[in-house]
Amino acid sequence: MQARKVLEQEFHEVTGRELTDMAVDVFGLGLDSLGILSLLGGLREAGYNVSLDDLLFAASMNEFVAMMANAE
Amino acid sequence: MNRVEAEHVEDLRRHRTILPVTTNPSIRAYQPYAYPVSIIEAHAPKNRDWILSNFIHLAYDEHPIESPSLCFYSYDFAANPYLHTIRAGRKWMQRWIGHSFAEFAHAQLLDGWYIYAFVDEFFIPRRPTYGASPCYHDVLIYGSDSDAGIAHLLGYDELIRFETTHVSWAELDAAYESCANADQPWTRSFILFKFNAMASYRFDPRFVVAELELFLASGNPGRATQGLVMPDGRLYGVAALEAYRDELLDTPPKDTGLDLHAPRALLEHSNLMSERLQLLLGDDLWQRYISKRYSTVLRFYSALPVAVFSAKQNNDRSALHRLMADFPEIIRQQISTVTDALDCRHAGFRHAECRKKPMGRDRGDMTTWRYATKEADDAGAQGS
Repeated sequence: MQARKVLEQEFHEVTGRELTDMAVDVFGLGLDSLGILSLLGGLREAGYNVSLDDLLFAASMNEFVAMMANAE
Repeated sequence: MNRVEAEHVEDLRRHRTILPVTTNPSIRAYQPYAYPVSIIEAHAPKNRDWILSNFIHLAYDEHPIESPSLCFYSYDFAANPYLHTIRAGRKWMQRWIGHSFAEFAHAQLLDGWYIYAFVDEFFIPRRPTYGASPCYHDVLIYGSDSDAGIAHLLGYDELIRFETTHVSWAELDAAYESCANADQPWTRSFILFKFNAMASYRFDPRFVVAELELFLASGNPGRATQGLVMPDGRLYGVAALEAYRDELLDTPPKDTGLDLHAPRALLEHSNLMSERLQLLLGDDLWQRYISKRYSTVLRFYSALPVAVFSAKQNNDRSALHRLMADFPEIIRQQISTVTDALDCRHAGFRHAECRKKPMGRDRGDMTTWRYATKEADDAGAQGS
């Protein structure tokens, strides 16, 4: 639950938008390359040791949140 | 609107003109291709017939000098049924421009003409070389405000995003004049575009199928216009994809000169291919046989620009290495999916025909990319 909140906060930080659809993958979030790397950087700064691989290859943001929880 | 109001509006219009552009056109990997598309998609976003009939061909230059190795093939990026085009050399244009390029641009914009020209981005805010070093680059001028003395430009910003910015008329004049010193012949290009609202263009499935077959056969699309100009000797279609894959595989580990435009072009190419195949097949056949299989291709090409960007910006190649391992298989999937779609169409749109027909000439050898979904396999199996 904590991981999801952090993801939502970082997404809002990068885009100014709310993260509403957790069923889509990262490409469904409407981010460009810089946005994706900024999101990843924010998550790492928040203490989540996730990789770009994790973010790009997660089938959904729900799946990615589970990865985050394991990488805390 | 009464006469006074109309005059007021007209007066306002004469001081500030912003012509429509979109910063998110279907094509923006390369500015020369992006500008005409940005104009026509801003005017008629729902009309997809022309764009889906184009940008099928890729070209790979084995010995690039100044241009990127991989890009779309186009006989003429400025030729477009939806645009009136006036093309002239910079030197010839000078007799019409007079003492101020910005004022000339303002007058053309009032008449509905966009200006495509080369400038020195040393003078253009929000450009990587602004105030630092000369850089001769193309811009599209789409707006102007004579009261504020600013012009509105479209192009890659300092973060290589396709964005709008504005520049003072003084800076624009300096940027244009400074470019007169450039040695490169391509900096002399000067084009005026105006949207042609009366134009029409129709998606012709037979033409598009023939173009797709040429793409699969790595044929040279320049042969179609050999009567006008001799075709060049680049690699095309699938051969261009394979050459780019090999280039990436051979890139030295710490090479920071990675090109960001080519992976973006491949993403745009795959996005348009998806939309094009759907239009060719119709929703039912597309969903039944192709959609989920092609989604793995789309996913790969969505990831590639991010991975290349990360490798270039952060020297983090982990994602790129993972993608590179999958690239050969992705190209095979592209070929087999487009081939299947054409087979399906040749079968005459009848489900029964498609179901009887083996889905893909090389499907027996194809292993599904590891990110493909089980449903995608099931859909493919139904067609076998």
